[in-house]
Amino acid sequence: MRSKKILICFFIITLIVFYISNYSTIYTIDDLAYVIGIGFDTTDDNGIIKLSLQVAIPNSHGDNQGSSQSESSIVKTVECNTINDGINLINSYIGKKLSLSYCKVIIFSKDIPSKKIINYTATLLNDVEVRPYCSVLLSKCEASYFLQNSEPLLEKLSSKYYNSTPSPEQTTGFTEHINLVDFYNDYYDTFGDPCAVLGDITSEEDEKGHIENFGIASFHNGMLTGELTGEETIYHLIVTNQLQNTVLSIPNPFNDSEYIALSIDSTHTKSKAKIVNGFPYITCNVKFNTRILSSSINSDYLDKNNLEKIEDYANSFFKVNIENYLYKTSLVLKSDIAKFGKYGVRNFLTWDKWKEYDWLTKYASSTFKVNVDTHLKSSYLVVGIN
Amino acid sequence: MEEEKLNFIEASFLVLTILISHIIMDLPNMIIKSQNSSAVLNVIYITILVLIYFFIINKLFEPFDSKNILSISEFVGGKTLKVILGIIYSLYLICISAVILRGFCETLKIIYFPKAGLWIILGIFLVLAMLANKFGERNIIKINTILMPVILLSVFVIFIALLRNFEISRVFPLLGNGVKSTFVDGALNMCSFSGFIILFFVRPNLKNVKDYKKVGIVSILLSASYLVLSVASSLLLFPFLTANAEVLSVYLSACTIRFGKFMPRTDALFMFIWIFTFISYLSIIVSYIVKFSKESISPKSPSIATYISAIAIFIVALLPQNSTQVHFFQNVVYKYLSITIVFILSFVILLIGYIKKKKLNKTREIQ
Amino acid sequence: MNFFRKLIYDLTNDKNDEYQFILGENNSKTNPELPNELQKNQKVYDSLDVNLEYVHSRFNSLINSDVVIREFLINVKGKQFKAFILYIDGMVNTDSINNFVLKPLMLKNYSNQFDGPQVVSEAVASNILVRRIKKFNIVDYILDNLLPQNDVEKVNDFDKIAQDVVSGNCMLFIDTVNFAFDIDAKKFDKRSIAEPKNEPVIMGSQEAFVENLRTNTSMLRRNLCNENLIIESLSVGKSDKNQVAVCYIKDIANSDLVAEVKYRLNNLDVDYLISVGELSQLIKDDMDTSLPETLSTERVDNSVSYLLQGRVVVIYNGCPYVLIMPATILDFLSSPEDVNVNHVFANLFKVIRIISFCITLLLPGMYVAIVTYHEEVIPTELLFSIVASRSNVPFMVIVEILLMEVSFEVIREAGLRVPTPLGSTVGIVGALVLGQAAVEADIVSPILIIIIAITGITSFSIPDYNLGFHLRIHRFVFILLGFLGGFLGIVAGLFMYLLNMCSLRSFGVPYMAPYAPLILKNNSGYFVKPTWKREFRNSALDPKKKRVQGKTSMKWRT
Repeated sequence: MRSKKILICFFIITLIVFYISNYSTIYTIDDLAYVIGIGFDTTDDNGIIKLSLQVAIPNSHGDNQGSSQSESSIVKTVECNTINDGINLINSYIGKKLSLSYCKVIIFSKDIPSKKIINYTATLLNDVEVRPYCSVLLSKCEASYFLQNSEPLLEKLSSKYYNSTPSPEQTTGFTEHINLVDFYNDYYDTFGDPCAVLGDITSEEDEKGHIENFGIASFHNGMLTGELTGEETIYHLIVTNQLQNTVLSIPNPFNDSEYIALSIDSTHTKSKAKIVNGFPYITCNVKFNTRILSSSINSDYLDKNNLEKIEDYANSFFKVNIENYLYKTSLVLKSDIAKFGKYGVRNFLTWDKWKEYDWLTKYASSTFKVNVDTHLKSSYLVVGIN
Repeated sequence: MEEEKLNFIEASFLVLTILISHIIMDLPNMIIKSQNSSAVLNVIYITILVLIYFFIINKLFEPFDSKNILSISEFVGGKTLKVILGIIYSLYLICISAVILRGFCETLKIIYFPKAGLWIILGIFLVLAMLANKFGERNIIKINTILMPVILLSVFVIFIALLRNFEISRVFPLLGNGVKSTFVDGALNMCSFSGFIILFFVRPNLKNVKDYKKVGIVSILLSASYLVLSVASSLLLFPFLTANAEVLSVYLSACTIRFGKFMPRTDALFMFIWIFTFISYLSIIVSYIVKFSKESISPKSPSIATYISAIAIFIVALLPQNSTQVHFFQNVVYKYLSITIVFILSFVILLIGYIKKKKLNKTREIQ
Repeated sequence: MNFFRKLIYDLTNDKNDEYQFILGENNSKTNPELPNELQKNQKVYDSLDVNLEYVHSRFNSLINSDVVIREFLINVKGKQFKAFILYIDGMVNTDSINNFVLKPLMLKNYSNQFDGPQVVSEAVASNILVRRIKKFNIVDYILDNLLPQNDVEKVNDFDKIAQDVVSGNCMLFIDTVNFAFDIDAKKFDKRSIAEPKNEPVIMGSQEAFVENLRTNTSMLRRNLCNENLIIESLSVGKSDKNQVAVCYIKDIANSDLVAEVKYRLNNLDVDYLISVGELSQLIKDDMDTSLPETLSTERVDNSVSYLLQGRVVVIYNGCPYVLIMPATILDFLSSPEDVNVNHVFANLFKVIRIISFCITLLLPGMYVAIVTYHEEVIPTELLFSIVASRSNVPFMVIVEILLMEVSFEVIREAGLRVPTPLGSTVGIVGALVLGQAAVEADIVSPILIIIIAITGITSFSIPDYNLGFHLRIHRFVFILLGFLGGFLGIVAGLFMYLLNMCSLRSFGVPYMAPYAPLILKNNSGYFVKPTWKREFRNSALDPKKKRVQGKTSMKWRT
C-alpha cells in the first residue's frame, strides 16, 4: 500500500531529525571518561565543597610492556559550590565528557556535617548516571587522600578492586556493605537509622596504601552519633541477618590461656519487638551453626560433653557481647541501626499512630533480651586424639 | 471471517496492555502515595470490587448477545446518544493516552535523549501507531499477543530479582492511613483498572460470546496480580517517604536490580521492553478511537480517523507545560476521569439499556 | 622516428575498428516482432503434405539440426498411406522408435498382411449367411494392431504437439488422418539421484531431487505409497512451455489451497521461467516483502513429510528444488533432522536456531546502539577493554561496522564465485588474515571482529537459504536504526518488522501461525512434541484429515 510506504518514509525522516537534534549529546564510549570513585571533603568555607573524582584509564589487558605498570586511574580534586559545578570544572582538565555511570564508590570525609552528606547523596541519586548501588564510605582520612592512595591489592583495575573490597559480610563481617540508595532511604526511614562504612587507608612509608574498611558509623536525626568497632559490627551483622561467614574466637573453657576459633557457617536471628510500658522491649533469638577451626594436641571434639561445654560457654559469651552491642546502640549511639522498628511497627494499626509513637526517639530507652543457641558441629578434619 | 474473531487470550491481553502501560508509568506510586503501607491490601480490595462490578456488567450485557456498549447506547438513546458517547470515549482515550505518552517520553528524554526535542520522541511513537493501524486492527492484536508474554515476564523478573531486597515489614501498619483512607477513599483506585473500557467493546469480536466472562475474569485477575507485583516491588523496596520520584516507579525499582557483580545497569534492557509496551498500547488506543468513530460518525475513510486521532494525541501530549502539570493529570484528573467514564457512565448506559430491554421483552411476551 | 610517427598517428586516429554490438537500435527490419497469434490453436490438417509444411515452418526443421522428420509409407489392406514421424534427436529412445514404431508400420508382418474383412457377427437366416463386417478404420487399425507402444495418445492441436515434441515425445502423422499419434519414447541423459548437497542430515534419507520432472515424481511415489497422491501436470510459460507438477494428497490437503495453487500457476502471463526461484516470486502473496513465503527443498523425505501434513508440493522441470506451500515462519526455522531425532535434542536445536535468528538480525544493531547511546549496559571491565582496544581506531563505530559487514559480504560472495580448488583459500585469506590484519592496523577493533564473526556464524545456522538472505539484508537496516535512535530506533524497527510478519500470509495461512493469531487447539507450535504425541496435523493448514495418530499410538504398550 502506498500510504504505508509514505508513513515509513515519514518515520525515517523523523528518526533522522531525531538523530540530528540529539547529535550534540551523543557521546559514544570513545568520547567518555569514566569516573569510578567520588570523594567529598570539607573546606574552611562552609559553602564550598572539595570534590575529588577518580577517573579510570582504560588499558587493554595485554598491555604489560615495560617493568613499570602504568597507572590505572587518575584523581582530580577541585573546590566548588555544587557537585555539578565541580564536575564541570574537572571536565575542563579532562578532554572527554565525564560519565558517572561506572562510579563504584562514594567517599565522604568524616568531618563533613551529616546534613550535608544527605544533601550530596540526594544530588547524586538525582543524577541519571549514578548507580543506586554504588558503595558509600565514611572515611577517617581525607576522601581525596583515600582515592589517591587506594592501590589495587590483588587486581589490575581499581574498579574491580572497589567491586570486591566493600563486600566483607561474605567473608569477615568487620564492616557492612552499604549502598547509596540504602543510605538515602535509611535517612528517611522510620524503621531505623542510617549507618555508613568506616573506611581508611593503611600505607607504609613512601608506598601507596590499601583500603582498610573497619567498623561502621551510625547516624541519628541527621547527626553522626558514633562508631562501632569491627567486632561490634560482626554482632550487628548477626542481629540483622546479614552475616554469611566469619571467624570468631572465644576463650577456651578448658584452658584459660588459649582461645578457640569458631567458624560461623550460618546465623539466623529472630527478633521481636513489643511495647511495654510505652517503651520498646526487644527480644533476639540468635542461632549459630559453627565448627571449630583451631585445634590443639589435647582437644577431643568427638566427646559430647566437651562439645556441650564449649557450646554453653559460647552461648554465654555471645549473649554478653550481643547485649553489649545492643545497649551501645541504644544508650550510647541512640541509633536504631539494626532497624528493629520494622518489628515494632507491627504493634500499630495505622501510620499516624506509628509516627506519633516516634520509635527512633523511644529506641534510646529500649530493653533487650538476647537468647543464643550455638550448635557446634565439631571440627573439620582433626577431631581429636583418643 | 472466523480468523478475525478473538479468542479469550487475545482479548485478555488487550485489556492487560492498557494496565501494564499504566503500571510502568506511575500507577504504583499513585497508589502508594495515597495508601501508604496498605497499598497491597488496597489493591486486593479494589480487585474484589472490580470483579463484582464485572459480574454485574456481564449480567447487564446478557440480553444483548454480541453487542458493544455503543450499539446499546443507540438502543437506549438513538443515534445521538451513540455519537455523543463515541465522542466521549474517544476524547477520554485521547486524553489518557496523551498524558501517559507524555510521561513516558519525558522519562526517555531525561534518561537517554536529553537534547532531543520532546515533540520528536512523541512523533516517533505516533507515526508508529499510525503505521500499525495501516496494517489493520487484527495485526495489532496479533503483535500484542506475541509481545505481551515478554512484557509480563519483565514485570515478573523485576519482582523476582528484587525479592532479596524486600522488607516485608513495609506492609505494616496494616491499615496504612486508616480504614476510611484504605476502603472508602481507596475505592477510587479502581481507576487502575481503566483497561476495563476494552471489555465494553470486545464482546462482538469474540469467537464465542460465552467466553466473555472468562475474558473478564482472566484479564482482571492477571491485571490485579501484576498490579500487586509492581506495587509490592515499590512498596517493599523503598520507604514510603522516599517513594516520591518523578520518573517511572518501575524504572526506579529496575535500577536497583543487580545480577551479580558483572552485570551493571539492566534498566536499559527493561526500557527496551517498555518501549514495545507503549508502542503497542498507543496502536491499540488509536485503533479503538478509529473503531468508535467508525461506529458513531461513520467517516468516509477510516484512515482520516487514524491521522486525526494521532494528531490529537500529539497536540494534547504537548499541552502540559511542565512535569507538575503532567503529574497532576496522571494522579488526579486520570483518577476521576476513569471512574466517571469507565465505571459510572458506562454502567448507567448499560443499566438503562438492560431495563429497557427487559421491559420490551415483557411487552412482546404479553402480545 | 617511426615509433613516434606511429604514436602520433594512433593518438590522432579516430577510426574505431573494434567490434561493436548494440542491442535494440532500429533493428525492426532484421528483428521484426513476430505475432504470437499465428501459432495458437492450430489443428492438424487432413493432408499430410500440408501438415509436413506446417511442421517444417513451426519447428524450423531446415535450421534446427536436431529436429528429425522421417517420411515413410504404410501398407495396409492393399492400400498405401503416406506418413512421417517427428522427433527431436537426443531426447528420444531411437531403438524404441525403430523397433516399435517404424518396424511394425513399414515392414511386412502378420498384422499388416491380413487382408480379410473383420467379422463382427454372423447369422443364418433362410439359408442365407448374413455377416456383419466392421468397416475398416485406419486409425483404429494402427492403434490396435500396428503400434505396440505402451503410451500412445491422439492429439490434434499443434500447440500440444509442439509441447510434447520438445519434451521428448515422437509424433506420427498419417495422410487423411486429422490428428497425430503422440508416442511417449523419451530417453535423455540426466543426472542420477544423488545426496542432497545443501540440506545434509545424519539420520535420514540421502536422496535428493534431480532436474528431470518424471524422476522427481517417481521418487515421490516411491516414498509415499498412497494412491491418493495426486500429481497434476501444468505448463508455465508461453514460449518455453516448461512442465510443472502440482502434488498433493487428495484426502488430506485442503481443496481450496490446491485450487489456489493451480489458479496462480495457470494465470502467469510470462514467456518463460528459468528456475523455481523465479516461480516462487511470481506466486507469492505479498510483493513488498523479501521474506520467503514458500519453502524450497531438495530433499525427498522433507517433501513427503510436508505432503502428509496437507501441503502442496510444486515440482518444476529442470530444477532440483521443489516448492512447498503454504509455509509459516516456523517452517523456515525447522530442519529436516528435527523429526528424526529425539524431541529433546530437536527442541534444543530449535532454541539455538531462534537465538541465532535474533542474533543475526539484531546483534550488530544492538552493539551500535549500546556503544552509542546505552553504554551503561556494558560491564565495567569489558567496557574498559573495549575502549582500550578502540583507542587507536580512527573511525566511528557505525563506519567501522558497516566497513566490516560489507567486507564480510564481499568475502562471502567471492567465495561463491571462486573455483573450488581456491575456495577454501579465499575463505581463510579473507576471513582470518584480513580480519587479523585490520585489527593490527587499527582499522577496526577486535570486539567488532567478534561481533561480525558471531553474526556470520549464526546466519549460517538458519536452515532456509532465502531467509538467511533476508536476514543479511535487514541487519543493515537495524544497524542504521540503532545508530539513529539507539534502543528506541531498534524497538521501532523491530515492531514494524514483527507487524509486517504478522500481516503476511502464505497461500492464505497467517505467516506467524500458530502464535499470531493464537491458535490454541491442535497446533503444532514451534517446538517438536514427542513422536507419540503428534496426534494432530497443523490446524493452520485446515486439512481434511485432522488426526495423524490415535490417542495411544503405541498399542503394544497397552
